[in-house]
Amino acid sequence: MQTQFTAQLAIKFTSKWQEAGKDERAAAIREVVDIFGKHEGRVGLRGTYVVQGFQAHTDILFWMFADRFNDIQDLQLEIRRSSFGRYIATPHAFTGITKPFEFSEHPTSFAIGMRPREYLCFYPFIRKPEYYLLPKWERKALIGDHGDIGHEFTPDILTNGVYGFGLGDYEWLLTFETNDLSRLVDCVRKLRESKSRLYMQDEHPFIVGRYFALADALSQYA
Amino acid sequence: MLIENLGRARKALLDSLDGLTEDQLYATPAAGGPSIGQLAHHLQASERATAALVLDALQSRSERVEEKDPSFLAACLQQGCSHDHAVSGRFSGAELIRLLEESRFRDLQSVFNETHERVLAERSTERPLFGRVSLKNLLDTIWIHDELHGKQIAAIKQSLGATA
Repeated sequence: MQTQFTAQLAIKFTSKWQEAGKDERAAAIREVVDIFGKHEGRVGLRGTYVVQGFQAHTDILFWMFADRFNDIQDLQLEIRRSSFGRYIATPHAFTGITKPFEFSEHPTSFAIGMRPREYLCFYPFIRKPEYYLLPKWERKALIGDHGDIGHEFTPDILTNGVYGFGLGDYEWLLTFETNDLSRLVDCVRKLRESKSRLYMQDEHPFIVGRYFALADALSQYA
Repeated sequence: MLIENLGRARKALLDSLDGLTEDQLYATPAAGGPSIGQLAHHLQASERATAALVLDALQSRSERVEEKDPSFLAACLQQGCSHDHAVSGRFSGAELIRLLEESRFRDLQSVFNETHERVLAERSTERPLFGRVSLKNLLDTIWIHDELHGKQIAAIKQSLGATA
């Protein structure tokens, strides 16, 4: 599997956004669309998700991927320097990398050609230190049990797990994609029965959002 | 490059089906042969069958064989692709896309949930069309197949005057 960098960038509009005129907001949105357009081919945008109604800490979540991290960072810096950047805070930012998992390849849904779904549910997590000290066969059994539960929900729920070790506060970054929020709730609830949960140390923040094309997502707040 | 090729070819295939009416999906091509809808259905059925073969072959011991060139696999597919287009019923474009996504994320992903790409390259199976072939190469035939029929679909669309 070719490694790729992924980035989940959460933004929140500051009060300056509403104070700006409608034309200024429209121009700022066009600027962001142009920035993504300029980086097309180097940075992929899996989706732009409107978080309104799910979590108060975030308005929009961008989900990007690229072969080189620098391309993602350059794009994000351009957004920060743009007029749009004057109106936003960044409550959360996560960078991950796609790699084969310990016991299977498990590529991301976007790598194998699946289209994005209507909703995304993202959360980073850390396992307890004891997990990594378990014998390999035991870790394999725990992951197998976890995977078996997850398979009950395919293809309704697409899963994307990437490595975060060393790139931030978290070890793993997990993104579910679905067209059916009810199935998402069932899946996450059922995964609570997995024994691997005994080794979960921290999993927050959850960020859930609804998919929109880039300009449409930003325009929801204009 | 297996996963990247699978993703790239499937994305192009799905994009090529977007916006086609049912009449366009099931129009008989001027040159004869299967319709776009039949080709799309055939591709998802083939993907399911190939994934099942690989999962099955993973259960038994096998030796490593030399990787075959994609052009060899494409030539074999072109010669021997069994076009079982006896589809019962007509599927809408949305249904065909759903079937293609199911075969991708349920059937093919089951293989990748089971093992690593490097293991697939180390194991092999005997297939009438290709001879003894690595399991990785067997999965290569899925994206090569998508590309071959993708070209056919593009040609049919052009003859129908549908947007490429």
